[in-house]
Amino acid sequence: MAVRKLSKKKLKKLLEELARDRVVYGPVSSDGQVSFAEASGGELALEKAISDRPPKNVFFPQAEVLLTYSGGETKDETYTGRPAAVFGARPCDARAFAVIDRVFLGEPPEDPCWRARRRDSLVLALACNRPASTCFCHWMGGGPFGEEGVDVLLTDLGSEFLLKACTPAGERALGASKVLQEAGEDDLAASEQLKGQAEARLSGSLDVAEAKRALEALWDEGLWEDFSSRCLGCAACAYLCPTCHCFDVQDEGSASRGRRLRIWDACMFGLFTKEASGHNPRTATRERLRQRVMHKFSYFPDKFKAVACVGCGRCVRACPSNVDLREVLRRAVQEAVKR
Amino acid sequence: MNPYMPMPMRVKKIIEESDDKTLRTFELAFCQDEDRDSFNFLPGQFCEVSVLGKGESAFGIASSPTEKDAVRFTVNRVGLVTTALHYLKEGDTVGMRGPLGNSYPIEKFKGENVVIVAGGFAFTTLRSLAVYLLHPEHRSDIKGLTVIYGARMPGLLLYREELARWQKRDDIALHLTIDRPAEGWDGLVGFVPTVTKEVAPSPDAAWVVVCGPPIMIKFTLPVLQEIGFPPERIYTSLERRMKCGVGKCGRCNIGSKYVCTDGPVFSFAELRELPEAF
Amino acid sequence: MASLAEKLRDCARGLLAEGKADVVIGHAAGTLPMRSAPCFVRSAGEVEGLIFDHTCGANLAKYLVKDKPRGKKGEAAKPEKVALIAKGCDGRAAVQLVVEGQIARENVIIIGVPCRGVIDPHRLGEAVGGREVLSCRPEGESLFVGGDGFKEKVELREVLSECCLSCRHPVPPVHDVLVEEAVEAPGGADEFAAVEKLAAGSPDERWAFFEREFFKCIRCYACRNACPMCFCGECFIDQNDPQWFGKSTDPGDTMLFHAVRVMHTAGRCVDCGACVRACPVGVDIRALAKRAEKEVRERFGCEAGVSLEEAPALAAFDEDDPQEFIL
Repeated sequence: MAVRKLSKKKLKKLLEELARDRVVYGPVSSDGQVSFAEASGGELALEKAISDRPPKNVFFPQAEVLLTYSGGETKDETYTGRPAAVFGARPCDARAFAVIDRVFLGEPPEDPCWRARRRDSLVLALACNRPASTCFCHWMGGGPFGEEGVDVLLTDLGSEFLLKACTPAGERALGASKVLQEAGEDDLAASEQLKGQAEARLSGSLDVAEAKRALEALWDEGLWEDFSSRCLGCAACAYLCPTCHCFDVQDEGSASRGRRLRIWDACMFGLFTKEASGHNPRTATRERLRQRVMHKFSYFPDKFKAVACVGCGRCVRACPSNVDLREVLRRAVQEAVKR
Repeated sequence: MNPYMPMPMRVKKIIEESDDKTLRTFELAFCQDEDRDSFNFLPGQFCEVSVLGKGESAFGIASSPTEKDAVRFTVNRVGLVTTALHYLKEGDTVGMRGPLGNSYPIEKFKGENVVIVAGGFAFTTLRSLAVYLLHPEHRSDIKGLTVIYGARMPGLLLYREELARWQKRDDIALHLTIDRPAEGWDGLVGFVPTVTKEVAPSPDAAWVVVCGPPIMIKFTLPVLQEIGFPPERIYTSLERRMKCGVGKCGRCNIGSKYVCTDGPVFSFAELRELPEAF
Repeated sequence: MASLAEKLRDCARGLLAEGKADVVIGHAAGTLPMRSAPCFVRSAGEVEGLIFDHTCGANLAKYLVKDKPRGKKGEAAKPEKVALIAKGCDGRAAVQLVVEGQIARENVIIIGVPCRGVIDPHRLGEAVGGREVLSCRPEGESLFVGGDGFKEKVELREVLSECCLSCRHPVPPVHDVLVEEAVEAPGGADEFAAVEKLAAGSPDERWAFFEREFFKCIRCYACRNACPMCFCGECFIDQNDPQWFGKSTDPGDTMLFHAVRVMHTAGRCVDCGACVRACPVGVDIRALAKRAEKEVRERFGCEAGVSLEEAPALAAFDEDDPQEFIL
C-alpha cells in the first residue's frame, strides 16, 4: 500500500483537496473542548492526545431528522449530501466506526441514515505518538497505530506527516492528491520507532476474553453494587463513547406538520426500558450499569463478534463519580480468579 | 426501502373490545397497493403503528395472514401514542411499519397438538395464531387445538363474538375463565395457571404458547413444567419497550438478543439462557 | 497533631463502632490524578480509604436521595442512618433535604469538614492549555502541576471552582460533628459579580452568551443527576404526556431545560458547583443558577440549607408576605 509524506505547512491544501467532493470533518477546539466539526479551513486542534468528544457525530449526529410530514405527505429526510472525510480521528475512533458498522450495517435491515453518511467516507486517522494515561486501546485489541477502520493512517513525524494507505479507498485518495511527496525508508523507520515508543507508554494489560467470562460469572455479585452506588446514572459516559449508539425516536409537531427525529439515548437512563404498562425491567442503577458493561463486553461480542469498547478512555475522564471502566474490568477478573 | 418510513394506512373500522373502553381493535387497510402486495406476515409478528406528531408504538398483529381484508391491532389505552390512537375515527390515516420480529414456530407444530394459554390483552397475537390454525388450509396440519384464555372479568375478554363462535366448534377446545365470579358468567372461574392445571393438556407431541402479564407467566410456567412440557416446547412472546423495531436503537436488548429481531417469540429454553428475561 | 484525614477517619470509625451510623459516605482517592470517588464505608476496615482534599468535588448529599424509591413502597422498614462527610455546601444541601422532608433529621449525621475549595477539572485543564495532568501537588496557595513533558506552578484560585472563590460557608452551618475548625475560606470574591456583569449586558449580548454556553450541552443530564436537589421521581424533561420540551439538542429546548431546572432549584441550590464539575463539556450552568440565587436572596431574604427552622423560600407563604397573591 502507498506511503506518502506531507509537510505540515501544506495540511490546509490537503484539506482543500478533500473538500472538493467531500465534507471534511476534523477536531476543532471551542472553549477548551475539542470535538469534531466541519473543518473547512479553520484551525485543526491536533495536539491533544485524544479529542474530548468522539467523531461519531459525523456519521451518527446527536439529532437526525428521519422524516418530515406536512399536508398529508410524508418525506424521507435521510441524508443525501456529499460523503465525509474524517481527518484527525484517532485509531480508536476509527475502530469504533467499524464496531458500529456491525450493528447498523451488519444485520438486515441496514440503518439507512448511517449508511447514507458512511457511504464512500474516508477516514484519515492520526496515530498516537503519546497516548494519554487513560488510554487502554491495547486491552481491546487496538493500538496507537492501529489500522482497523482506517483508510489513511497519518503519523506525526515533527514537521511532516507520514501518510499510509490502509484500504483501496485510502490508496485512491493518496494517488489523487497533488500536495503529497514521496516518503523514504527513513520516514518509515521513524514512524516505526514512534509506534514502538507509543506502545511502550501504554500501561497495564487485560485479557478481554477473560474479562468477559469473569463479568458473566459475577452477574449477581457485589461489584455492581459497589460501582453503581456512586454512579449518577447520567449519560456522560455513553455520549462521549465512540461506540455507544443507542437512540430514541421522537415526534415533534402537530397532527398536520412536523418531523420525526432520532436522538442519542443511553441505557444508563432510568426510563430507557420503562414500558407503557409502567413495568420497568431495570429499575436500579445497579442493573443499568451492569447492562452497559455487559452489553459492551459480553452481549455485543456474542452477537456481533467484537467488543463494543475501543479503550479510548473518554468515559474514564468524563465520569463525575470516577466510575472507572478499567477498574470494573480489572476487579471482575480478580474476583473471578479468586472463586 | 427505508425501514424507518411508515406505510400510510386507513382506519377502516374501530371495534370497542372492553366495557371500560380501554381496549379497541383497529382494522387498517393499505392506502398504497404496492404496500399491500408486499406485506406478508406470520402469526406472532408485530408492527410499529404511528400517529405522526405523537409517536409510534409496537403492537402484535391480531389478525391472521389468512384474513386478507385488513390488518388488525388491539390497542390498550395507557399512554401518549395509544391515547392518540384511541382518538382516531374511521377514515383517518395512521402509519405502519412492518411486519417486524419473528413468528410462532408453526412449522414445528405440524402433526402435533397445540395449546394456547393466554391472559388479558396478551391474546392479540394468539388470536392471529388460532385463526391461522383454524383456517381450512391449515387446520389439518396440526392435531388438537386447545385454548385456555382468562381475563380479570368478562368485560375484559377480547374478541368475545369470535370466542362465542369458537365455543360451538368441535375442532377447538376452548376454556374461558375469569378471575373471580361475576354476575351473568356461568363459565370457568379461576386464575389462568389454576385452570391450566385443571385442564392439564397432555404434553405428548404437544407445543404450548403462553402469553400474558409477567405475573401470570411466573405462575403458569411451573404448572406447564409440572405437567411435563419441556422448556423447548414452551413458547412465549416477550414484551419490551421498543422504538426502532429493527434491531438498531438498542432499547429492547437483553443478553445477546434484540427482542424486536431475534424475538419477540422465544422458547423458554432460549429465555433460560438470557439474563433478566423477566 | 493528627491530620484532617486522620481525624475524619477516627470520627467515622467511632460512629460505625458505636452503631450510630450504618454507613459513612465520604470520598476516597480516585483512579485519576486530582480526582476522588464518592465512597460508602460500612465497616471499620474500610475507613482507611477516606480522604479529604481539594479533589473532593462531589456533593455527597446527593446520595441521601439517589435511588431512593418513591412512594409507599419506598419506605424502608428501618431506614439507614447515614453519616455524611460534608463540606459547607454538602451540609447545607443535607439540611435543605431535611427541611424538604426528603430525609428524617435523625437519619443523617452531618460530619462537618472545613473545605478550602474544590478543583474544577475544566479550569485545571484550561490553566495548563488542555494538556493532560498527571500529577498535582498543593503547596500553600499554589499547585505544582505536572504532565507529559511539563511542570508548572498555578495559583490555586485559578483552578478552584468559581463558586469556591466566593464561598461563605466552608463548614456546614448545621452539623452534628465538626472534625476541625474552619480555616480561612478560599472565598472573598464578590459572589454575584459575574451575574451582575451579565445582567448589565444588552439583550443581544446576553443572548449570545447563553447561546454559546448552551450550544455545548449534550443533554447528558450529568448536571441534574449530580445535584442533590434534583430528586424527582420523574423529571419534567423526561415527561412525554404532556411533553413540556423537546429532548433533542435543539438550542431552544436545551436552554429551556436549563432555565426550568434553575427555576425548580431556585432558593434550594447551595451553589456547590457539582453541576459544573460534572458537566463533561464545560457548560457554565451557574450563570443562570447564581442569578436565581441572587433573586431569592434579595426578594425573600432566604438562603438554602443554613437553618433547619427556615422553610424553603418558594414552598412556603405567610399572611404578611409583601405580595398578596401566591404567584
